[in-house]
Amino acid sequence: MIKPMVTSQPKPSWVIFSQNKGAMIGLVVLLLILLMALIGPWIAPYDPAHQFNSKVLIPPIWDSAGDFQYFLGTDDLGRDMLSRLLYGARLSLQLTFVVVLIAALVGVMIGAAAAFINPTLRSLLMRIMDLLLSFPSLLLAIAIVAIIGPGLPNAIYAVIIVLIPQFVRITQSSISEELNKDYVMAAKLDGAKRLRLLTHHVWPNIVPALIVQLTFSFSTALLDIAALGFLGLGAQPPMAEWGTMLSESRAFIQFAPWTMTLPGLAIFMTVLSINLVGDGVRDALDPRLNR
Amino acid sequence: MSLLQVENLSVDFKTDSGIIPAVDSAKIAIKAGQVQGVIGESGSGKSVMALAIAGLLSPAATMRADLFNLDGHDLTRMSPAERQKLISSNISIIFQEPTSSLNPSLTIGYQLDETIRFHGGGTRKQRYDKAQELLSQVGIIDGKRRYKEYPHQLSGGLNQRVMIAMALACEPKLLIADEPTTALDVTVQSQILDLLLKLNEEHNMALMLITHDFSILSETTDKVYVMYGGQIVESGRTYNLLSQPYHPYTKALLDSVPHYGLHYKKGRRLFNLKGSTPSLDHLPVGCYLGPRCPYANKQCVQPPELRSLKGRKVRCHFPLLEEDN
Amino acid sequence: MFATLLKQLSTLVISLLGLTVLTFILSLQSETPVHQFQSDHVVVQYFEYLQFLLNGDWGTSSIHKRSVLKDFLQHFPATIELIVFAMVLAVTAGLGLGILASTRRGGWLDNTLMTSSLVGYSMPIFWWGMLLVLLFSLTLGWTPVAGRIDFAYDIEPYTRFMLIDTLLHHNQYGFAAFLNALHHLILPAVTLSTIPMAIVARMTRSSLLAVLKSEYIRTARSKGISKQRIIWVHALRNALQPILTIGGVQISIIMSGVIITEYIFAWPGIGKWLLEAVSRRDFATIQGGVLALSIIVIAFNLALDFIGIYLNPRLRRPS
Repeated sequence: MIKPMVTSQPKPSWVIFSQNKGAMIGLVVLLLILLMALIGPWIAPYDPAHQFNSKVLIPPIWDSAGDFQYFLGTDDLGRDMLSRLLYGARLSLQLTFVVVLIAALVGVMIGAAAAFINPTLRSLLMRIMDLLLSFPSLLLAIAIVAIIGPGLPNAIYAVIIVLIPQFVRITQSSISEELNKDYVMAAKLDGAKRLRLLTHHVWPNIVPALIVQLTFSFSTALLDIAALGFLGLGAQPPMAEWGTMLSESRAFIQFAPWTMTLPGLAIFMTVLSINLVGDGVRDALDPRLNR
Repeated sequence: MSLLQVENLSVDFKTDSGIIPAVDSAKIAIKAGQVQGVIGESGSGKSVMALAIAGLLSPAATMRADLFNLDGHDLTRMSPAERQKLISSNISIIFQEPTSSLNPSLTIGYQLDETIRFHGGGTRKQRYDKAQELLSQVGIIDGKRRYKEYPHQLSGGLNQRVMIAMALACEPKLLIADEPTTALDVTVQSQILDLLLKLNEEHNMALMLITHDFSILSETTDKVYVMYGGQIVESGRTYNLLSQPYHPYTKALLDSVPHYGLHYKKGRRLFNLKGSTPSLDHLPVGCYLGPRCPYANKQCVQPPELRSLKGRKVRCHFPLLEEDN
Repeated sequence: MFATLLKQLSTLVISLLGLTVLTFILSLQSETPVHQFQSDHVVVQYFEYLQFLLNGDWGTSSIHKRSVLKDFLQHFPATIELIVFAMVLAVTAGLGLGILASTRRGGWLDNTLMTSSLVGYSMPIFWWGMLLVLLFSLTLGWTPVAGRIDFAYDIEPYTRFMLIDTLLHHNQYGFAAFLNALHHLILPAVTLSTIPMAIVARMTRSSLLAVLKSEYIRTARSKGISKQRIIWVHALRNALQPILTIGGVQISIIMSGVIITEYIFAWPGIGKWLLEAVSRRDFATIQGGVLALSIIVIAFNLALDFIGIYLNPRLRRPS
């Protein structure tokens, strides 16, 4: 549709981001969750594993049967929900962070290498990556856990492997795309070395896409780790991991719904705020990636 | 009586940076069968004006007009649905990019047939015959084959012919051609122009030719409007306007094509403007050409009115005289 | 057309080879060998493995001592029933909501829809399923908690599609059994369809809005073609193409989701069968299950590609 021609100054990315209401709310919530994860051990009222045998399944304080000693109630073994959730935040975010970081590092290295290897080999490698990408991520993680066995460390390896192909794809395609642009051709003709080309010209142009992928990988990783925990293939009880807590609550949904709603809410709020921030980052950094 | 008469037509766009006046109090009158031209640079509001007349503005735009008469009907007193119906059966429009103006997922035949169905109709067979007739009228020889093809299989020139055929299917009294040849190869350009003029004669269909290129208008049109910054700055009979531009902008536009224009004299210095076309959200105070105009003085901070001068209209405090040219 | 077909075919072959390599490695982990190989060399063994698969010998479960392929085929219909039902729900509701939102852009319906689709996008399906159970089954008592049908009905598994089998028992139970099966199916299907529905609705809206701004829609409007016709004939056809490209992602989400959904609702399908095998380290079953589910994903992606070619004349008939 024809619009009147208007030439206005492009806004800086952070201005675009800060004008995005959803992204700002997401950022605030995410920072709050991060803060709680950081100071969790100091503000948690109890040891997350300690069982108050006489205080089993006490509801949160907004219930008439609530007990102020246990702000968010206790679970079936009499463990304090608030303490478990706080420790769970610490555990989940730590794991997610490490998983995404390793996956991104490995993925970017493979992707960058792929952009410079011989085309036949590259196309084969990218086909494999496409295959891994087309795989349902949880099914892939389950298959990997099946090989190396259930448990938290193995679940983490599985999620790392699941996340890598995205980074390989993005890095390889952005580098290849940039390498074909006129300015890189010009730099090449000027005799620029490959590595210099990569660091000076190409790298700054793929960083936005990588940052966007990084944020969305956080939510995928968090969800997959929790899902594996929920299915009993990841973190094992009595570990205070959100997915595992959900799994343990299954038998008590009817009598103690808070044991299910609270950890789920924690996962959901974290994922939602990451996704909101991710949407904002994407819109701010690269309008071309916009839906 | 005029076929189309529009007075004080204004179009505003609502954007993030405020309300932008894309067309400002334009006045247009076209008689049946007449060929008129609208000329201006990109961003001058000429395309928006065309869309406004054809009732195709986007929802972000608001349109006002003191008078909007089409074929004897007062459109300002109609509901939007009635207005759209009247416009679509009297006015057709073709665009700059013929290939993207056709639906990529539907065959030429389907799109043509649909248009015929909405304007007159008939049985399947009648519609097919009508479509073939239209295709041959616009100079497409292998109409039977093209009927089954998709826009991406045709060249830009052929697609523009298809667009014209679809326009004809509505049997319009006015055809608006918004830069109909700009995206086409040079040799194809004149073919399309010839076709438009031929159809204008054969069907007594008025033609409004919108362009940025004077050379297209000089031999084809009876009357020309010159637009700048959303306003009509000068209008008049084509021959007069080309041989003796009154508005400095018209003169600059004519001189942008060296060795061209009826006022061209060998050895004369070309006249050009400083700076560039203003953005519509940062229009200067007073005369929009003011900051770029070598003739401007204090009085030009007052917005000039469109006034009559020797049978023409000009929006300038200091119209150029014979000796200035 | 021929070139695209060839490309599809080569992708298919590479995918299947890569996949069988993975499942071959999986099958080698088993303590009791899944297949008896003639050769000692691992590469030759791989080809023998392919031979076994093609002959329909997918190994024998180390726990139940049953044929993996047979076991799979027994559990498969339950999963298919759930997936198909959920997909139909996701696609029809997603498309409908997306179209509705795009025609009322900026209205309260649009805003509500877009917010809820963002929420749906971030929803952990395992929590969502439990919330639905808590609300609809345990609190309101509208739907059954788990399973495919009440024990009161004695249904002979002719096709193993419960909806069909119950209809085949029409003489015995009338429509009661069928309705009971449907009743059991609703909540799992809703659980499974929510996230894809949110994505489809969001995509439909944005894709349709982009298409509605295009020049050929302007042309159609100038011809006086009705609004409904412009959306359904002119816009949707083109808007569907980008939606199809995310169809592959959708099937991935559904396949991951179906495992969790079956786990929550004790739905006797592939997911539950596979999870059991993983926790009991039954490698023959894991290998077969992963292989079968992946083949479904690959086949689905292939089908999507063909629909895409059908919808886009530029691919079907290059100029």
